[in-house]
Amino acid sequence: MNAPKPQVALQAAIQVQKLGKAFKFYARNFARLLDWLPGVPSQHQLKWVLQDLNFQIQLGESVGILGRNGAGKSTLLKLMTGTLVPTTGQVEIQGRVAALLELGMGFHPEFTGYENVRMAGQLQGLSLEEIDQCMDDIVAFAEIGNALHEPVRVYSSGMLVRLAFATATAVKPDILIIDEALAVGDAYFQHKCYQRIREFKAQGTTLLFVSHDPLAIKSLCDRALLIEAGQLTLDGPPEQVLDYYNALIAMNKETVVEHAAYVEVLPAQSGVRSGSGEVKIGQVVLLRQGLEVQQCFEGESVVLAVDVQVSKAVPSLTVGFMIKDRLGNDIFGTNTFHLGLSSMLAGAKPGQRLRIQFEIAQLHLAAGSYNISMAAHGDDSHLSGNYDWWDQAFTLQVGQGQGTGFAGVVRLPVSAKLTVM
Amino acid sequence: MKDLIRFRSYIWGSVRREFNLRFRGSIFGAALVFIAPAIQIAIYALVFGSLLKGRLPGHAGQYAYPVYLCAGLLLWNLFAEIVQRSQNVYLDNANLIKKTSFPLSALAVVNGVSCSLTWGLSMALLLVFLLVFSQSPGAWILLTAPVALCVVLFALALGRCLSMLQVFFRDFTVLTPLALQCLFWCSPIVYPVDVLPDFVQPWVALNPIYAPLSTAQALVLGTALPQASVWLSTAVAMVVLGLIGQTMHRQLRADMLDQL
Repeated sequence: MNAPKPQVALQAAIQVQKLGKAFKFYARNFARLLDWLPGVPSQHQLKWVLQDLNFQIQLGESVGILGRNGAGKSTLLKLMTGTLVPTTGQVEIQGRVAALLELGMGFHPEFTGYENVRMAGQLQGLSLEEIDQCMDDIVAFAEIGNALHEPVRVYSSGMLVRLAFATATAVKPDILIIDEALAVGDAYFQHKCYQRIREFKAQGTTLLFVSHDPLAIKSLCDRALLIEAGQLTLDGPPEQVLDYYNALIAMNKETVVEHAAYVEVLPAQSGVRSGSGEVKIGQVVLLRQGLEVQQCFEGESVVLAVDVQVSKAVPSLTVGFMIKDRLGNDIFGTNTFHLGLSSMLAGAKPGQRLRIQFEIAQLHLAAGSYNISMAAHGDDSHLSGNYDWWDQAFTLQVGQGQGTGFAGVVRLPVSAKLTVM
Repeated sequence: MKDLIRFRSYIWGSVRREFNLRFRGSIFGAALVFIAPAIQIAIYALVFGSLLKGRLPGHAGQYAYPVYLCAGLLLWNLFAEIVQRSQNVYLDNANLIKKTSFPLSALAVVNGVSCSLTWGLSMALLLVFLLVFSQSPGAWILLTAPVALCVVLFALALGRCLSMLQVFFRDFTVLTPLALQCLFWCSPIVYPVDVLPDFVQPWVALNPIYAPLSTAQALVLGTALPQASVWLSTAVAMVVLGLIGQTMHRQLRADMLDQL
């Protein structure tokens, strides 16, 4: 197979068409034997794990795959690496695939690190010369030094995963598929791995990444796919998909089912909204000197005003906001619980419409684009009683202020004093 | 086939590692490879050559029977070992198969090559024994190598079918050794074919393992080769098993990967 050059834009590295996977279930093992006989009616039941998936991944794209446990993520990766055969549809892959589904695959404890690296390399279809060329790099990455010629059973677990990762990624693949394999190591190891993955990415490797770590997805991926109950539920920028995913998790923890639960993706720029609906957020506005604005300047005094409609009695009510930067990083957030309004809100009655004004005396945010998420929930943790959760409810442009210059995201109250010693 | 060439490094490496692993941590190392077959040949020579004075009808030599026994037994061991190891190839390597995209046929080749090497080493020792204690067998003995190759291919074809069945039905863990034991005693390995009753003799060649066994025994003892027609059942069995294996693989591969 000839891997197209990364420079060729908009060439699909992975093409998934009408992909579906079902596992066969037999009531008895004997039924399977009957199934093989011609003319015998089908003896099995199909259990669909994935259904009708269609998407393309372009060369050089980094795509995160999100989904709850059992949603079908691992099955999807196995179909892509060819360790499972699709029931319907097809997966087309261009180029050499390296799959990190499990670190330390095929390592034998009795053999030395050196022998194991050669064995693992051969398992990838490399020749010994090719492996030996990478050996110095592998040893340097794994930081095992002289232990290379000792059996791997005496290695620490850290050394082992570093060695395994270094071996698996010794040769730059065209497509790198990672299934939470990195979750095993310590923070230092993960840092090193992400570093290497970024290098591959910069060199044009297509990345497919399954993780529960939102930060990793946000920082590594250009795009995210959400798999929910075997279907592709959402395909979009990582921030949006993560917001939706978090909303799904929050909803899952909700035990109240009789309330009409919902998750909706709002039109572009308007984010994702979900909740159980007893209280709904209405208008969100930013007021500067009493006027509604979309922009303001650093250091100005503004008021974030939010209307909420209470439609059913709730045991407790908290309204909060979170300011995020354009990458989706949390910058600042607070809520009525922290600001001492809990007791007043506890008395909210069905049918009431409330307005909460968060007065921000000095908005010390660096110039740039921000968005504000709003939430109305039960007590101070948003996981209990999520009435309404609205990601990216408001987009805010902050301009350069009058104050002294600074770098970073927020201004801290800093002054400088000079003493001659 | 293309995959096998790409993974030749892995195949060769695996065979070496397998031998390596057998002697890792030992003092004598590779010498241990020779000890087991050497002792086996020595015991047969002592028990059947000197103590029991086992005689092979039509052969005068003192060691004719132990040589006959070894020639047949080594070939049988080659066959049985490949079949049994092939049968478990998927289950033993389930993790590898599930987590890497990697040609499964490579595992079969590793199995075949590594068992053939064991057979070759034992045959070399038998040859040494022949040269020292018995008559020189002549260059014909080298023809046992292509005979062994037929046995390897036959065993791999059978093992491949069994390996797929084994994934779904564990019954074969018990059934296969039993079937092999029956086949062993149905084949002239311990006994010469002449001891069988006359009415059985014409049917012996239906046993697909008979042709390679009798050919190898004749080559080692330097006696007349069996008729070429005895190979018919072996050839038919190989082709049929090959086709069955191919069909099963095509039909069952997806289910098999699901089941692992």
